[in-house]
Amino acid sequence: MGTYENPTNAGDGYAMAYHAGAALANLECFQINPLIKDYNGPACAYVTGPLGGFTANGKGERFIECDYWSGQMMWEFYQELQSGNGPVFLKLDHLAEETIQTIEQILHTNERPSRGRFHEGRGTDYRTQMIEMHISEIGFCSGHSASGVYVNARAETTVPGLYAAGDMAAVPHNYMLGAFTYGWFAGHNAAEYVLGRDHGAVDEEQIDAERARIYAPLKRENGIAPAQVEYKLRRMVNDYLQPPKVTRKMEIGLQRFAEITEDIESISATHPHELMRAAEVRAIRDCAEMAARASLFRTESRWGLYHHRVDYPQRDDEQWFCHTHLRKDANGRMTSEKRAVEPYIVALDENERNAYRSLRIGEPALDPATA
Amino acid sequence: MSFTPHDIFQRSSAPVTIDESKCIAEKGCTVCVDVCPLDLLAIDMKKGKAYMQFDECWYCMPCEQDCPTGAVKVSIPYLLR
Repeated sequence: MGTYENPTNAGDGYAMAYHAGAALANLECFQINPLIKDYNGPACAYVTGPLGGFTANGKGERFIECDYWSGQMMWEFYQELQSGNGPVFLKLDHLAEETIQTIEQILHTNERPSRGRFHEGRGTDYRTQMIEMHISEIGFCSGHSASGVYVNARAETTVPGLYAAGDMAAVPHNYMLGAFTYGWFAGHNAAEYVLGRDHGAVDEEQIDAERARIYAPLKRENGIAPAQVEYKLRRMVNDYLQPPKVTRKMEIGLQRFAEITEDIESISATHPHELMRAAEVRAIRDCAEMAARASLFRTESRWGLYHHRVDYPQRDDEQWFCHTHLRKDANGRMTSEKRAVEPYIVALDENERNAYRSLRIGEPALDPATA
Repeated sequence: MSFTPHDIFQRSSAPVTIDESKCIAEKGCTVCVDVCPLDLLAIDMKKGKAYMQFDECWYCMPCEQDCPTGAVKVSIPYLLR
């Protein structure tokens, strides 16, 4: 199963904020992306959309209204992938030569520049073939929607003096522009916060303990390779947390993640690079546990595939039209609670309320004249 | 007699390869090492040439793009072809 994010993206930001006591919002809204089959890059059908490209099923037919990524879009994608109409493709072979050249220029120099080389190796050409797509392993959605470390308009987390910005902060659809903007808020407000304050006392014992923890894998002989622990952990994540989500499977996942906590204490590193990878495994494990516990807390289905619980298949606005916050409680346990949605600043039209859930292209209505 | 644990390695081919006749690492160049977001490339100090030390590549290609002498090539490995 492919990975969409840069592999250095191990969730360190979420893990650090969690251990500092900050609340993380809506983590059960996973992110799952459409990827090119066997390649670690997105097909980017939505990039080709304005030029006439689209996501198609095995018959070459359009089945979703909008190719832009969302949980509901992925739900329809998943349904098509699993159906007799599957798999799912990027369709460009109906476009003019100059349009295809423009698309190649965009797609083969931006998001994943080795993409052209991949297609070349496969012998796939947009002019004559559709490009097979598949879905990525799960990740936290964060700045691609509205989950991650909770921040207010000043980039303050729930821990006084701790600020968050970028893809780990729950700023809806923030991407790079949001990261830059919120980086400014965070820096500006953090500087204001520390102004006039003295440095805290340095706790040598704490520093020694942290140094011992970080360097421990270098001192162990015959330990487990960090890459193996990461591989096993990610396999468990995909086996037990991948939507459609099943309660019992997520509970088994939590057991396995607890065992991996112990495995991490047996990792050995032979090189500073491996030491870095060992530190990353810890963050990935923390994120896996957060993903499972946040998902178990919300006993309904919402956001299409991202939080589809087979044993709670309906959306329940009465109980769950709310945010969820996950944090470490006073006893060091992972706990979740509901948070009310603030009133909308811009009112929603009644007919817009269901737009998100109406992404599947409907059957064409019969013409009464010929019916 | 006790059983002695030992590591074992799986064989694979490096997707990032270097044309050593073009590589100028011996002159102090470390561009490819610096731009790799995954910390996978290194300089062989004995040879004075760059090489791929770890294979966790995601084929993003700045190493190839930014090399001032065109000495770096990124290939899609067998498992992804």
